[in-house]
Amino acid sequence: MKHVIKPASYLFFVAAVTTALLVLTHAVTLEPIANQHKKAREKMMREILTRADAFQEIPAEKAGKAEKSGSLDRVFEAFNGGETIGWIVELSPGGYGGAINMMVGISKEDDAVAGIRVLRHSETPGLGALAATERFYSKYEGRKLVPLKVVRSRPHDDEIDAITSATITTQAVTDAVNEAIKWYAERVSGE
Amino acid sequence: MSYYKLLKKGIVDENPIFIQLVALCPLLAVTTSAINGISMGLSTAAVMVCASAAISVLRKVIPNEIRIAVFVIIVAGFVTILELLMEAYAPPAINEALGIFIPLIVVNCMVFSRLEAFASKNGVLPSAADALGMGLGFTLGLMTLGVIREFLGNGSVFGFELLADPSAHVLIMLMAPGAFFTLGVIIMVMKFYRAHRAYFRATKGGLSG
Amino acid sequence: MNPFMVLIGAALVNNYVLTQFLGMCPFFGVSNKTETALGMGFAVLFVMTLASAITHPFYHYILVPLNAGYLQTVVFILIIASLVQFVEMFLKKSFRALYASLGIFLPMITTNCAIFGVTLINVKDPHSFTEAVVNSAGAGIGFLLALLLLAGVREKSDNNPDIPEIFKGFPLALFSAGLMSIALMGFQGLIKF
Repeated sequence: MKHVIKPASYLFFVAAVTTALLVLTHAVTLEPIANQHKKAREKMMREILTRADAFQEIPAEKAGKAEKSGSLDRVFEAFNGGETIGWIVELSPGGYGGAINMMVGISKEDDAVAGIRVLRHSETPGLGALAATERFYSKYEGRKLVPLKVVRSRPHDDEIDAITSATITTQAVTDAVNEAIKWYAERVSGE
Repeated sequence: MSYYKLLKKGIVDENPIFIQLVALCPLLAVTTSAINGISMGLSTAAVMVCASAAISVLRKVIPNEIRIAVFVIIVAGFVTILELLMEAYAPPAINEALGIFIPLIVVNCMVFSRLEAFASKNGVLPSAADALGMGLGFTLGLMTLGVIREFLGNGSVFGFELLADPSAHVLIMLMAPGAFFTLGVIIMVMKFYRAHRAYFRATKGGLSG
Repeated sequence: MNPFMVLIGAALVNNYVLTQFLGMCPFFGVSNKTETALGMGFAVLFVMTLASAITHPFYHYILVPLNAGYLQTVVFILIIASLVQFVEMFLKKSFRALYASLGIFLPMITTNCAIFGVTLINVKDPHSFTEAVVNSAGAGIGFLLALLLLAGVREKSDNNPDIPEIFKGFPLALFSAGLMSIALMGFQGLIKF
């Protein structure tokens, strides 16, 4: 029996020490990790609504997440000196290679789309992945709050020209922007 | 063996990528850019050095029949510590790019072969030096692939744009097939070099000579 | 999501070997002969499905309530290692014939990153239990398929005297894998996420 107990207790000891070390590391890094996530998100929101100095998440029931099955994740209200200047809508529409985690900003004073940012995606490098670049973001900046359409060339006011060979990605992002616009029309300006 | 020789063994003589051809998963998966390659390589090297040193300290008290299980627990422990530290302090973009391949260091065959072949038989400092050499050799391999794929696929090296014209970019190099092709060509060149080594030596490596 | 779609998605569209580079070592290591490739493929398919069926509930019903999700790396690898041991003992006792054909591959599977990787992906993505198991089975089928195809190509090409020496072995295996990967890209976009 001894030849089983000794290795087993040794193994148990090693596992216990390792777990203890991990619990310790976890405790030490808990706060920096939370900060890191918060900072990354706030940096993007600030890029969209440059004048904002604070963001606050709107409770899920008030944002209307529960009542429909769209791709809306959460909504943040943006403030400048205590006054509401716009909203950031976070959505995850389905793209070509999986969900596209993105943000759409709506500016209250311009009554327009302030901008978009892509947080996370798994689109094809060099094609759909171009959706996560400045050049693509700029297509949405300042758009009036009317539903947008995807076209393949020479866009008019309410149209977005698709990334070459990546129409599905462009369509997914544009659908999400339209959903954000619809959310704004129903929840904020329609009140 | 001197420390210099131990380092050189891992980086040149027994380079894990070019000579031994082990640890291909991270090599092919994360080398879409030079920075990603280096980050993955250095992360793996850090885990290897810590795990080798720890196993070397414990080598006389680990019961032989359960040594593999002990290796697994210790490597997994260091990998988790690395995961947590990276999530807390590394740039989010790097974290996102390396993704699942950080936890996969646990099943990296190169890490285990060094523990089994070297760290469990040698002192702490030589074991750490051996692991560092192998880790740096691995990093060198990842960086080489990263530089080639980033340049051909994105026209840049380490993020500096060299070929701005998008029509000159070979997109497939950034996708999965490009990784296979790049490594295939590298190994072919090495095979060619080895087959004609005597000739290269005689002419001082000049192709035209 | 429809289980059938998950299965096709894991086996073809997002083939874990050819598009995500999991399980490279056995993919190039045991693809010399179709016979061994078949054995290895089935062993991986079997253990992979079983491993996800255990790790998925373990993560959601034990680690998450304890707020210890960060321990997944340590816990999963230990579960897989012990699972392989048990499967080996069980097969040896009860299914001698199966053990004779799959037995030698089992010890190699503990450090197979495809199995570990798929269990990690299953808890990282919001999969239900059924989806996780079907996804693993699909991943296993995808692995078997890729391994078998590559072995077929290599069996023919390695004995072909017309192929220059420097192409033979690894380079040709890598080029074949690259071409297979391009072919699989044709399936992308097949499934709407």
